[in-house]
Amino acid sequence: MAKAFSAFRMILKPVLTRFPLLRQVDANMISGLGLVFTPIAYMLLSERAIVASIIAIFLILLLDALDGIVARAKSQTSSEDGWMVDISVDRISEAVISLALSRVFILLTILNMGLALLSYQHKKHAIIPLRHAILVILIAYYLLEKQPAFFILDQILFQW
Amino acid sequence: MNTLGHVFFANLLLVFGAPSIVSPTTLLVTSIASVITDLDHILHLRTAMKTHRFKSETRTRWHELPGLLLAMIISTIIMLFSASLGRSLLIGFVSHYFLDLLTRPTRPFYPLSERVVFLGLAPRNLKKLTAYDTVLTVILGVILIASLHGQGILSI
Repeated sequence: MAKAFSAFRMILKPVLTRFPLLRQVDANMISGLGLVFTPIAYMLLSERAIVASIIAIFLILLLDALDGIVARAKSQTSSEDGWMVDISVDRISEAVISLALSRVFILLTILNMGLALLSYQHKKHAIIPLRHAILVILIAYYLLEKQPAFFILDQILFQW
Repeated sequence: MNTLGHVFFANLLLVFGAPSIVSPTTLLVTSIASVITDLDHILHLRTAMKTHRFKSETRTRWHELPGLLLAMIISTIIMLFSASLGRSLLIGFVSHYFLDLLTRPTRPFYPLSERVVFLGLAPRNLKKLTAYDTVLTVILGVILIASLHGQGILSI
């Protein structure tokens, strides 16, 4: 997943840096837009609209990747503010998404929030890519609909 | 976001996301959880009367990520005894932090850091912010009333 995203960044970066409007867009605003999509993903997940949820979470992750690219294009990479925006938006976004999922994901969100605070305190980045994991599980859930593994995934995502 | 906006948004998340647990009790619990975080503003009421707003400095640690972490832990423990009560509390708490981060300058890592973070999706000018809040609150309120009416919980 991480390789896929770095490849995506490599493809998108030259395109986006040449896009003139990009210079006027603030990286924080893009993070905020990603956050706006979060309640939509939450509602779609609650309705068990799996394909639509996958698209919504993918869009959120895309905007999350995009804010990094914009920040780099505008030379904001060393900014602690940018890191804080990114981390806090990610944690709140995870918290909203996990509201539609089982207790396992609520516990993982709590763990991730604790890790985010510890990461800041100890200046070490140690956070679980929870939304990426949810996306992968949702894709597997969709693909394995008539397989025996589907029952296990259903338990993990929505029951436990 | 203003108090009413928080209540409307939290209840919308409850109605659309967990319709099976919607009842007058869970609606009330979600409403209380969505505004209880703002209690720390009371200490700064006098200053807010003069400036007509609560600045990010008035937000204590319970109004930021450490507070959300604690609120989520408490809600999860309550969920062990009453799933619907715990979930409605959780929705109320999370929705508050969500709306605040989206529309207000916050200090997410306070007390570890006093840096203020603002996403730029709401105006900072007081008059424009009041208008923005009012429009958003009315929209959320109308959607909530319509959805409660649609579910037969509220008759208009």
